[in-house]
Amino acid sequence: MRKKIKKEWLWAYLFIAPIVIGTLIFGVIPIIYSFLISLTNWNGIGDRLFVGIKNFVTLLHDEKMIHEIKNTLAYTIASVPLTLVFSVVVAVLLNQGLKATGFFRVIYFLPNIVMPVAAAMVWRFMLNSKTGIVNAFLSWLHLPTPNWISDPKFIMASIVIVSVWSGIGYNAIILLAGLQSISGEVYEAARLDGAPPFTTFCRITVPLLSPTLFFLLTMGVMNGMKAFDVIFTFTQNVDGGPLLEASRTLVYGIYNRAFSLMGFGEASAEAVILFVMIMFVTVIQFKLQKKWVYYE
Amino acid sequence: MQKLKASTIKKAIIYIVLILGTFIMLMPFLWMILTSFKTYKETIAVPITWFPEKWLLENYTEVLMKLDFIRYYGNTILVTVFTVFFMMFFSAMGAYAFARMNFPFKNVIFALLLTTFMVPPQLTMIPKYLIISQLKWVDTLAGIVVPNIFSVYSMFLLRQFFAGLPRELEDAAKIDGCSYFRLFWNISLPLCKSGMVAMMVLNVLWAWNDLLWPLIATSTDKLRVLSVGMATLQGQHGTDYPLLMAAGVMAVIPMLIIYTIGQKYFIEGIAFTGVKG
Repeated sequence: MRKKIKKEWLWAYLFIAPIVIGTLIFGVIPIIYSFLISLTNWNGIGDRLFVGIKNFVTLLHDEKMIHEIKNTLAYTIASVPLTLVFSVVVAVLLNQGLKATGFFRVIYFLPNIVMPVAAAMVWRFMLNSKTGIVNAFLSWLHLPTPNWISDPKFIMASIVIVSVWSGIGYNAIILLAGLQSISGEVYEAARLDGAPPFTTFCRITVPLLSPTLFFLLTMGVMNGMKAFDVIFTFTQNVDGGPLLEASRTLVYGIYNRAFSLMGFGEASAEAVILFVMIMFVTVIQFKLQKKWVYYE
Repeated sequence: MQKLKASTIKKAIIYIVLILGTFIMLMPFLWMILTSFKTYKETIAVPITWFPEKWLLENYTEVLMKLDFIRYYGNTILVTVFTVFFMMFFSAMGAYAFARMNFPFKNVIFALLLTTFMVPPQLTMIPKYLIISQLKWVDTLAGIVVPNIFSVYSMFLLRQFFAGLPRELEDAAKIDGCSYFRLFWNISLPLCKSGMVAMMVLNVLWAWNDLLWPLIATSTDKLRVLSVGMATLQGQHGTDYPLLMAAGVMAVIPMLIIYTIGQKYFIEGIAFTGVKG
């Protein structure tokens, strides 16, 4: 018996060895390393000098960094709720037992499989102020036609549009799965009590869906704070200036400081700040969860 | 009779809203495809023209031949295949052990692995770059692939699949003296096939579309992947829309094909990440 147990242990350790060793080398060590580099003035080649919290102080006095924090928060605060609202609408409509539900589900998820770089490229063209199809449509409706991607006031809105477009499908599929798990009896009871549809939605659908909404909100905020691909593509032919200032985010800043300016110390400090921000927001969400998320 | 009418109207409204949404969802695809066949002049014409006067293939040939997209294609396929293969293999092995086997410190190790998953990869990308440059892996396939194949996330999700399997089969095989590797490989893994495929298609999608890490791990265009190639193209030919759109169509098509064939798995996988994630 004893021998058998030991054999099982040996095999189990063998099975988990790759992922444990790999996570150690490319997960755990880099985390610790990151914090250490953030306290040095290292630029990738020369000596590493311990500078304490100097990088953090420099960053928080850097106007670019302030823009990065502001833009990251603005992007998250705009894109996550918008995506969620549209996704709930789509999911609820898809849950009405239409014959074409499967078809619509496939279509609405389609944007999610598009490479973000390609999505950014086509939207950048569609949002072009003169030759873009979006403004052609808006002017046909006699609506204002902003310079979406060349006006610093609108570039973040453009980035949010791309993100909402590609995010709806993913969120709607998860919400639809959540909706389908709500039993029909609850709705039947509400109908018999004569509850109007809107009340049913607010009092039954939303509470029963709240764990799914909470999951999507938490993940959405985490991903929103890590936004990079679309912004990087949008700013490829922008040489600094107000347009870049209005669109650069924290991950863009980390990438830029580390790999364009070779300031590994400062870039790591910025990564630490991003990490702390994400943790902070996530903890707050888990705290607030008790107020609105309903677990059966 | 009145009631039937109300429900028909309701249905009609739902259909109208969903079809309008469909247009918005599909418009970028349509516009990308149409533009890729146009001349540059047609793309900057005001008012806009919907269809190209002549359906040109030049944009595609230029992207493929002059801009080295064939190599980017090859690189992306290599990176995706290697990344997903090793990721699935290692994740499934770990997942099986954590779901089905007993060993000392099991829960401690599992909890530690999960903590690293909470940390955003952006925190670790600089040290990861330093590690691969120490190993002289910058601009190599290993440099792009290896740091990404240890996916605690995939392991965590697969563990749920393994944990849901009935134990009887394994017990019977154990009595027959089946080795642990064969228990995993020949008995449990085939039973998890749909879960494995669902995780696999998602990982293929993510590996194919990834930008940030391949951007960092390559400095020349020797191993440049499509996403990086396209971002660079955007920088160099920012307004040559037909060219950019042709590149975009080609980068998206492989995923479109996989999605068309395996959309059931995509949707299953996505729903699964939502329920258990």
